[in-house]
Amino acid sequence: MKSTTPLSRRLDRVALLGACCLFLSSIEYILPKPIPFLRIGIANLPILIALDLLSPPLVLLVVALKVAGQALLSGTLFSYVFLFSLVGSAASGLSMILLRTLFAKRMSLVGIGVLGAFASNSVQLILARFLIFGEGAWLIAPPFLALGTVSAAVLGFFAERFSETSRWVRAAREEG
Amino acid sequence: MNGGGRRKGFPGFLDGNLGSGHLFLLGVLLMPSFLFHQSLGLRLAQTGLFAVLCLLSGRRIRPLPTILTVAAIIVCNLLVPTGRILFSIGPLSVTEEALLSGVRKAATFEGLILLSRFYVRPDLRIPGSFGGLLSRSLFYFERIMSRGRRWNRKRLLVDLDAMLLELQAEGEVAERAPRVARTSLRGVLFGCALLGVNWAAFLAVLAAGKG
Repeated sequence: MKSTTPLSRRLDRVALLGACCLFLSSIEYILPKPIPFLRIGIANLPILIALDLLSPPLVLLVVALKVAGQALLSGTLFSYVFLFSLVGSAASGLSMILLRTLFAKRMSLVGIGVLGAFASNSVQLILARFLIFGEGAWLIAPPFLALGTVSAAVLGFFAERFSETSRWVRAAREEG
Repeated sequence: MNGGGRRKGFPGFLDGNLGSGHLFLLGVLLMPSFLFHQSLGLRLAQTGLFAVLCLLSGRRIRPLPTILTVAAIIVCNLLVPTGRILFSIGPLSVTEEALLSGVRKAATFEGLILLSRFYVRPDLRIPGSFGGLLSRSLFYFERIMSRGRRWNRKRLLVDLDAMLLELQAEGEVAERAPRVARTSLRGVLFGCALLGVNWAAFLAVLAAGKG
C-alpha cells in the first residue's frame, strides 16, 4: 500500500532515526574495547527499526545520514575510517533491506541483524586485507565476526521488542 | 524545553554575531584540531574552551550529569586493565594506561557534546536536499545530547520510546524556528581567533611530538 503521509513527515522520521544512529555511535565510542577495531555496532539499531517503518530508499537515506553524520562529527571524512564506515554500512543496509524484502516477516530482526552484521564485517575485513593489514587481516577475522554476530543478535532482539511495544513506532505505522 | 536548551531572552554572543551556517562551519573546522592529537592536556583545555563557547551561545551546562558521565566512562575503561598498576580498590586494579585512556575518552566525549551543542542551531540549513536532511538530523542529535536523560536499564525501551515522541514534538516546533542572526564583523574576528588559537596549539603539539 502506498503511503499517504506527506514526504516531509517521512523525511523527518528519517532524520530522527539518523540522529539516533549518531547518538548510539557516540555511546559506542566510550565503551572500552579489548582490541581497538572491535565494534559492537549499536548504531545499527535505528536501521533495524527503520526496516519495518520506511520504504527501502528511505532506509538507505538513514544509512547515508549515519555515515555522513559520523564523518562530520568525528572529523573522519577524508580518512580510511570513512571508507570503512561507508562500505560496511552500505553492505549491511543493502543486505538487511534485501532480506526484509525477500522474507518479509518470516525472518525476525534477529536473523536480519546477524546477517547484516556478517555482510558489513566481511566487506570490512576484505577491505582491511587489501588496504591495511595484508594477510594478517584473517587472524582478526574470527573474534571480529564472532563479536559482530553476538552483538547483532542482541540488537536484533532489542529492535524486535522495541518495534512491538513502542508508541512512536505504532504511531508511525498508523500514519503510514 | 529542558534545561539543556537556550536561555530565553539571552540569545548569546555566538547566536547574535554568527549566522547558523558560519557557526556550523566554525565547528567543523575546529573538529580536527580537537580530535587528531593525543595530548591529554590540550584535549582537557579544549573541552574547557568548548564549555565557555556553550555558555557564550546561551546554553546551560549541568554539572551533575556531566560529572556522572565522566566518572562512568573512566570506571568503564578501568575494567579492561592495561599498563602499570597504580593502586587497587578492592578487586579493581587501577592501571595507568586504562586510566589515561578513560580520562582521554571522557574529555573527548564531553568535548564533542559541548561542541555539537554550540555549533548546531535549529535554524541551520546545509545546502541541497541531502544537506537539509543532514541539518535536521544534526539538530535532533544536538537535542538528544543536551537532554542529560538518566537511562533506567529496566525501562530502557520505555525511555527510548518517550525520547522519540518528545523529539518528534520538539522537531515540529523547531520547523518554524526563524533565522536568528547574520554574521557580523565581530563574529568573523571571533571565529578566526578561535580557529587560530586551536590550530596553533594543535600544530605545536604535533611539532613537539605529542600528536
